Amino acid sequence: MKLASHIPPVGDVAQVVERSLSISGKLHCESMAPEWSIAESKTYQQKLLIPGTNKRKFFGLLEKPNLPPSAPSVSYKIFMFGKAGSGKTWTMNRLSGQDVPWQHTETLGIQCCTVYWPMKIGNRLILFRLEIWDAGDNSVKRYNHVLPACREGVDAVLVCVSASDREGWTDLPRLLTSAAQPTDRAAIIVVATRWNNVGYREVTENEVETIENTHGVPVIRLDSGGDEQHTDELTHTAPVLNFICKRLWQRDQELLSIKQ
Amino acid sequence: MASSWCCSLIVLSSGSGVPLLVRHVGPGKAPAYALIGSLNGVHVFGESHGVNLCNTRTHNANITWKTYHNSIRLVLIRGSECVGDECDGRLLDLVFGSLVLLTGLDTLNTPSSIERLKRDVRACYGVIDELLSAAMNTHEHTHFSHLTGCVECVIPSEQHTLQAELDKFAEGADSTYGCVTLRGRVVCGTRNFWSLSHTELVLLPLLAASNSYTAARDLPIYLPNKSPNVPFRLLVVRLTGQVSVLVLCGPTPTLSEMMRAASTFWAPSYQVLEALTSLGPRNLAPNILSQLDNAVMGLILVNYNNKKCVSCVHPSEEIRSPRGLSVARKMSALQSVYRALIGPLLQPPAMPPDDYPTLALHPDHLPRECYISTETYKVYIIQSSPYHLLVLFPPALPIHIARQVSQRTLTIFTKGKTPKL
Repeated sequence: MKLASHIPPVGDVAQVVERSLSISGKLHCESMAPEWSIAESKTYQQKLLIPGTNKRKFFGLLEKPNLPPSAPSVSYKIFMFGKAGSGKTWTMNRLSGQDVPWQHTETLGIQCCTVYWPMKIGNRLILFRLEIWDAGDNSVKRYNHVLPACREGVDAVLVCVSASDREGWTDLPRLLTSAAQPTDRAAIIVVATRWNNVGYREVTENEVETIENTHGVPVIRLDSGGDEQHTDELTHTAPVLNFICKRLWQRDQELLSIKQ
Repeated sequence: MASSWCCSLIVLSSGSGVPLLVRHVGPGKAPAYALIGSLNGVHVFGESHGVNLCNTRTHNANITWKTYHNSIRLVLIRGSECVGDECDGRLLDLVFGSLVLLTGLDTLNTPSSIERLKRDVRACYGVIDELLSAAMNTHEHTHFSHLTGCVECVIPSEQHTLQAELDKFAEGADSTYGCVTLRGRVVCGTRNFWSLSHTELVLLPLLAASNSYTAARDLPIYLPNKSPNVPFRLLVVRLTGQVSVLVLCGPTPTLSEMMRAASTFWAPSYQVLEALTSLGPRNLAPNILSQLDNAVMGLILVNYNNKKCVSCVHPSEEIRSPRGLSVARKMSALQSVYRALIGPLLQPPAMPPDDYPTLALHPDHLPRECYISTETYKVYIIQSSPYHLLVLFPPALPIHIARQVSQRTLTIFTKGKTPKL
């Protein structure tokens, strides 16, 4: 958490802390309690779009969505972790609402994108600023500054695994142990990419649930958004972003309660 | 072998003949393994008889071979109806430059294993594809930098404020190499930035622009001429939707330090940066545009000494001019005229490489001006060291008027104490 001074007083959202943290099963809005006013946030999410289109606007480092100035913004660093070709860049593009590459190209060095996500928590509008860090596997191996730069001060690690790669899936428990240093207390979330590629899917629902239960990590099943849904990418991606932001917020409350 | 709108590039290890990388743009398929083998075989056969095979033409394709450092051989197959195409050699130089840029010269020359090298050169796919599609004019915002060997710029109305800010910012990042770009075109650069070689200047903005959805990047790169074996870090920060700042750094600062510094440092200049966006897609400040004659449909100006070029195909407000040439047609007209004349007829003044082909038309004098007239356009070309200016006109314009307007156009850019390019 970077902008600690912008966190609203803890009392406001004390209920949030008491929420059970066991998250399992499909991650959709229906499991969320009223304090996560997702429907209400929708009007604000329109500010993320290029006016008159369904396409998300790109925000440069000096820009941010036009929200009421009273809305505090909180910044989080997220690191994409996973083996080469597991869909790290693809996931990053899906979350930021940009066009996903149609063929695999290796990521050069480190790339970082910012995703803004307004969400109502209690009756307070909060602008989440997710800074997603992604590094190419080859660069990680060749240059030793790359991995430490990505891991420094990380709030969450998204562990990417391709649902069409059996070997990668078997290796997931090992990846999970090396995903983050315990001192970071980073939230760990697994992202199963290429989930809707049913014909090539090598992972069953049961196996996903087993991982969720044995390792205590949530698994996001991410599909390509499909061409037919492309027209409304935001609605399609919203549940995933809601989930990630909610998870980060809860982690903050946990850390705050430990401090107290 | 190839349709006229496609282009294939093969990178081979010249010692073993193993293909390291094959890229293809346009319709059709990438060349088959057998064809790659034959193309390399022909070259090797020539070599064993003391002949260096440079290029050849089939009925619908140009094939160019070029070997670098006795270790990497590039073969370019380009569908083309255009005769006398001297620019393919320069394109190959840029492709080799991008291989060095992202893998380092030592790694290319003495790889630990071929398989490893194949993996390493995968990093170059993005930049090479950009270069090939620019060469085929299939790009939305085509650059001319791959043709001219000079970096594509935009000319803002007022440069001093931005220049001073950039110098301060680069200094703060412990670097003397930095530039501000608008959609991959350079707006201003530090003094040392302009000391980079032609290849480096063309490739760095291209690499930075090759990924349009990230806010910041930390790219480990080698400088093909200045530092082919010791890597630097190119830090690219996207300040607004279209404006980025590029800084070439050593081990420090880290990317997150750079992002923090950039957002505090540039925030007061946000209005200035955002105003740059209005320069696109014309690339020229309004005060220059207003001086251009109405007959000018498009232009390219190259300054070989300063390694800069600027192009504009939207001089008038309307996207499609009443004279009926679309932007893409104007681009390809200017491209093909540049290909056909600069080199064979007009020698690039400052920068021909050693192996630059000699004058194909062998005139007994040095031409300074020439024109091409077709059914759909007329292009007037002026050579005035260190400049080349190509101006696109409607076909009906009398040539003596075209000449006068072209000369006036050149003075718009060159008059005054400091030339605009």
